Amino acid sequence: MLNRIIIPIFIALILIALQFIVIPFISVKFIIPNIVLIFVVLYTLRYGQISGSLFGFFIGFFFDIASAGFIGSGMFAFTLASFIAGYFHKEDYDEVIFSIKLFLPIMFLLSSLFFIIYSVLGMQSIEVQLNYSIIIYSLLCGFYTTVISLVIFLLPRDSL
Amino acid sequence: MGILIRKLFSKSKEYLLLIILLIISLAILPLNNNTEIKKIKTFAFATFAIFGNLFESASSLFSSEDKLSKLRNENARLMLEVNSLREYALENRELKSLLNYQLSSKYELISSTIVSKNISNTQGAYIINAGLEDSIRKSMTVMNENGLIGIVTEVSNNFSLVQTLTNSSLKISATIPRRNVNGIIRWDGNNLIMQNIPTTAVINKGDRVVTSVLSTIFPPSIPIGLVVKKESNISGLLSNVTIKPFVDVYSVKNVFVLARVESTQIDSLELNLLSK
Repeated sequence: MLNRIIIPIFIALILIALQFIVIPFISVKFIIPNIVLIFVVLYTLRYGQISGSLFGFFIGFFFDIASAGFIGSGMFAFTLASFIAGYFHKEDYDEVIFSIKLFLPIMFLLSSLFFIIYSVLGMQSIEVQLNYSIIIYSLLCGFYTTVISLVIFLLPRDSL
Repeated sequence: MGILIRKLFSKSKEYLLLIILLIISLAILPLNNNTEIKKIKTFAFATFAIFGNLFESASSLFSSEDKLSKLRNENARLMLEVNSLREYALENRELKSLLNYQLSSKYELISSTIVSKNISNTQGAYIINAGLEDSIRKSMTVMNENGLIGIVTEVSNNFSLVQTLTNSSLKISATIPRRNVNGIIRWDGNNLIMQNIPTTAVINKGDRVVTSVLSTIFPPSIPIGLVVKKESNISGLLSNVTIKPFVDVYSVKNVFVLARVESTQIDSLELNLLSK
C-alpha cells in the first residue's frame, strides 16, 4: 500500500509542482518536457495496465488542477498514455526500463501521443483542428520528454 | 448468462476500466465553466500557488540584485515610453476638447510576479502572486512593458489565474488602427489569428494591432502585435491575418495587472443608486 500507492502519489505531486514551477525555465519557446508523464509511464511499466491507468487518471486530475487548464484534458491524456504503456509491462521490470532500445521508443511514442491529446482537448473551440503545427509541436515535446527521460539511466537501479 | 458476463469481464476488464475512465474525463470537460468546478479550481490553484510562491521567494534571494537591475531598466524604458505617450496625450487632449469629449477613465498598474506557468500550445496560463487583497478582480487586463499578455480569469485572496495569449479560449476584440479594420483575435495552437477580415481590406505586413475600443473587457489601444501574414480563405471573400505578439509569453517573469477604474461619474451614479 505504502510503496505502491502513497509514495508514488507523493512523488507525483512533487513532480507536478516541479513541472509548473521549475521546468518552464528549461522550455525552448513552447516546447517543454513532461516529467510527470515520465513517472506515470515508469509506474505503469512496473505495476501493469490496470494500476497504471488508475494512477494516470488521478495524477491527470491533479495535473489539470495545478496547470489551471481544463479539468479532464490531462486526465484523458494521462489515462490513455498509461493504458498503452501497460502493453509493455513485463514481470521483469528491469528488462524494459534499462533497455535503451526499448524504453526510448516507448517514451517517445507515449509522450507524443500525450501532447497531441492534451493539445486537442485543450482547444475549447468548435474549430478544433488537428493541424500540422499541433503534430509537429507534439513530436518536438515528445522528443524533449524522451531526452529528459534519459536521466533515469543515471539513477541507481535500486531507486527505481 | 452470469458466467458469460463474468468471463467477458475477466477478459476485458482493462478495456472496461479504460472506457469508464475516459468517459469520466470527457464528461468533466464541458463542466469547466460550472460555478462549483470554478470554486474548486480557485481553491486548488491558490493552494498550489503557495508552493510556487515559496520557490519564487527562495530563488529571488539569490537573484535580487539581478532582478532589481532588470526592474530599474524596465522602469527607465517605461518612463521613456510614458514621455513619448505624454506628447501624444497632449495632442490628443486638444483634439478631443475640440470634439467636446472628456476623458473619464484612469488606469492603475499593479505589479506582480509569475509563480507558475502552464506552457502549452493551447492551454497557456500563469498563476501570479497578487489577488483580491491587492485589488485584483476577474477580467482585469494583464500586460508588461511590451504589450498585452492576457486576462485574469480566477482570483483568490493572494493569487490570480491568468489566461495568456496562447490560450485557445481567449478571444480578443482588436483593431488595426492604421487601416481602421476590426476583428476578433484568437490563438489557433500555433499563431495569433485575426479571423474573417474582408479580403478587400488593405492590410500590410508590419501593421500594428491593438485592443479595440469595441471591447468591453480590454481597455483600448493596448499593443498586441504586428501583422506578419494575410491569407484568404477558400471562398476568397474573407481573410485570416496572422499576428506576431509583442510579448514573448514563454519568457515573461513579471507582469502588470491593469486595475481599470471606471469613470468617477459612473461610480458616483452607482453609489447614488445603491444608497436609495
